Amino acid sequence: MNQILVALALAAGLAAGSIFDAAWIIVRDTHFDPTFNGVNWDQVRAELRPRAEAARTPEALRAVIEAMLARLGQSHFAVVPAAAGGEVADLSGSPGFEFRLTDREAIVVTVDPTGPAAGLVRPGWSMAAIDGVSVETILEGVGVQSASPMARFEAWRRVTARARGPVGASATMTFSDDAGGDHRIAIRREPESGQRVQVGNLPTLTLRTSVRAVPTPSGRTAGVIHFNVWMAPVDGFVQAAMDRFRDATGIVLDLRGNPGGLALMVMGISGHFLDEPVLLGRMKTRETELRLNANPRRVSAAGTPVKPYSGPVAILVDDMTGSASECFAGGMQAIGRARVFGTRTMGQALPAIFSRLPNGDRLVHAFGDFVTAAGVRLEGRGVLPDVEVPIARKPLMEGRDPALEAALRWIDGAASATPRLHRDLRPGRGL
Amino acid sequence: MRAIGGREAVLRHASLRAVGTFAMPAQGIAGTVERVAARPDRFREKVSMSGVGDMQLGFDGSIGWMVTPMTGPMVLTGKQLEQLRRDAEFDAALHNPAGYTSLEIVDRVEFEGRPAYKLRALRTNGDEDFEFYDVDNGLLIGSIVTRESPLGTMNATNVMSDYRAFNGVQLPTRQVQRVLGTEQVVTITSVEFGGVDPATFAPPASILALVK
Repeated sequence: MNQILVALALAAGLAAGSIFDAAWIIVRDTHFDPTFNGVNWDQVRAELRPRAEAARTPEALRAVIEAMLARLGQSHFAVVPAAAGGEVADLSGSPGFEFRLTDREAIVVTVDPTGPAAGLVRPGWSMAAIDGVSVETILEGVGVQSASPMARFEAWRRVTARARGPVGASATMTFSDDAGGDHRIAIRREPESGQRVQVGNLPTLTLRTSVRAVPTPSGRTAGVIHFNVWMAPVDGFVQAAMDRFRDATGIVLDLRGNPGGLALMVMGISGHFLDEPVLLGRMKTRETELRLNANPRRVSAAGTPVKPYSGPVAILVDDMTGSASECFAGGMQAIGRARVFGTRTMGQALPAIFSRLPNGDRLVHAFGDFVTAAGVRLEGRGVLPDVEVPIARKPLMEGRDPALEAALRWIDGAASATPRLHRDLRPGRGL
Repeated sequence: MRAIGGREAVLRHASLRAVGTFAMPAQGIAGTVERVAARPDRFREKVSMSGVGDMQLGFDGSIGWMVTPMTGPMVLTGKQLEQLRRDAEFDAALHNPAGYTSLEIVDRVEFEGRPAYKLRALRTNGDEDFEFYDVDNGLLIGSIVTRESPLGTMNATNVMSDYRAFNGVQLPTRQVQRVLGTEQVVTITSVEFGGVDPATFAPPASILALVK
């Protein structure tokens, strides 16, 4: 159903109130916490339903439902418009680079070598303005400096919504380099490179993977595996990568910028590094408690028996590492099977599903709360790296990756100290 | 038993292959399903979902297994294996007394809007399932079961409807399973009895490598 049909549905009396009610009921019946995070859910309905009834446009109704969901103060509650034509803004075009927000700046961290910014923009540059609007203005009223991961995510989302746009549309972006020089560049947004993956009502995601062998400072070899979302094709990719790096000194899993996906994949991917069905964490729903145990991967892609990798494992994260990535990184950290490098993660770690509302919009709603095997709740907190490596412009300008460098140094040390020894994987033990 | 065609009709067949569609409507997920089964307890199911791939489950008489693109290959053990073996019974409708401590109609209730007899099935291992039989025609219209899964214990409600006769046996062509707040709908479009090659039930190579 497109935007026009949603409006017609409203005009025909499909009743904004009933659509609002549908969203309210779904949350009432499926929220993992019967106290609704301390919110009086009945009262929220009583207060906001009149506003929903008064809504005359799809956007107005969505805003009321979003306001209702915001009262929960939790991630993974949102409304997704019915179809691409109904998006509030078309953000399908990418400028071809990624940025991260520090306290004061939007810093370019990667540039897609095949994208529209290649050769124009460099990692380490600070994005100052988009189409004449300063990043400072875009972030007005959002607590970038806040310790709240939710606030930081909202800040990132706002800048992203400006940087992206329709495919083919150009934006003029202003960057400053480390020497204080300004660069005003017109970038024509393009579709993201990668494999399109569509699962049900989930928005179409673009999967990007990479794998490479990297020397450690002492000349050993580490396998660096990167994937940007947890979608089914990742399993085969990681399987092939692990078959390639089975004898490597260490493995680095780069989950920076990976916002999650199919949470059950945590069981399969973690099994490449665990020879027992070790508990990584629990998803607590209203009715039951689901266990995320590793599924030891004792067979290669070719169908031959193998041992799961037992060497040192490092995980790279940043503040755009979320959801399933946090369950994985936090779970592996909790059992001492991996060491985490980078910056604190998103803190949005609630398992969620999509449900369809009567007007065709989709409601994202969390049905569980994730707690690591060590009892740490990640929602609102995130995964705290074992080794904090803040994002800094200078090394990026020099083409360096300090988080990866720290991980490789640790792999060297870990390989020397504990060469493939059996580890005690109970929470609080291990590395 | 009479409602589905009688004991003789059930025992006349030794294997079947059913195909149809799979959907999780609220999540917008759609796909296909193929189920193959044979007496006494051979079973294999493949659900193919767009964007996810093939989810496979099987039991060959001794090995219970699951392969999904999310978890990789898994050999089922313990209670999961025990329950899969039981659920794979080709003649489950006959309720072999050896598998039960008691089978008892405990209530007359409304199930999915239909008057139904509620059967309490207490297994010899202590598991308790409830089955619901339509008061008017005696057909099984649902069940409430507790099953172990790789994620832990789950309660599921199954709703069966749209019975059709296939080679003298009435089978539900619409099966809805509600679990963890989601609803999965299987719609069977064809059923063929007999002719299933026993090799069909052999676990895939990735599973055989795990049990070597």
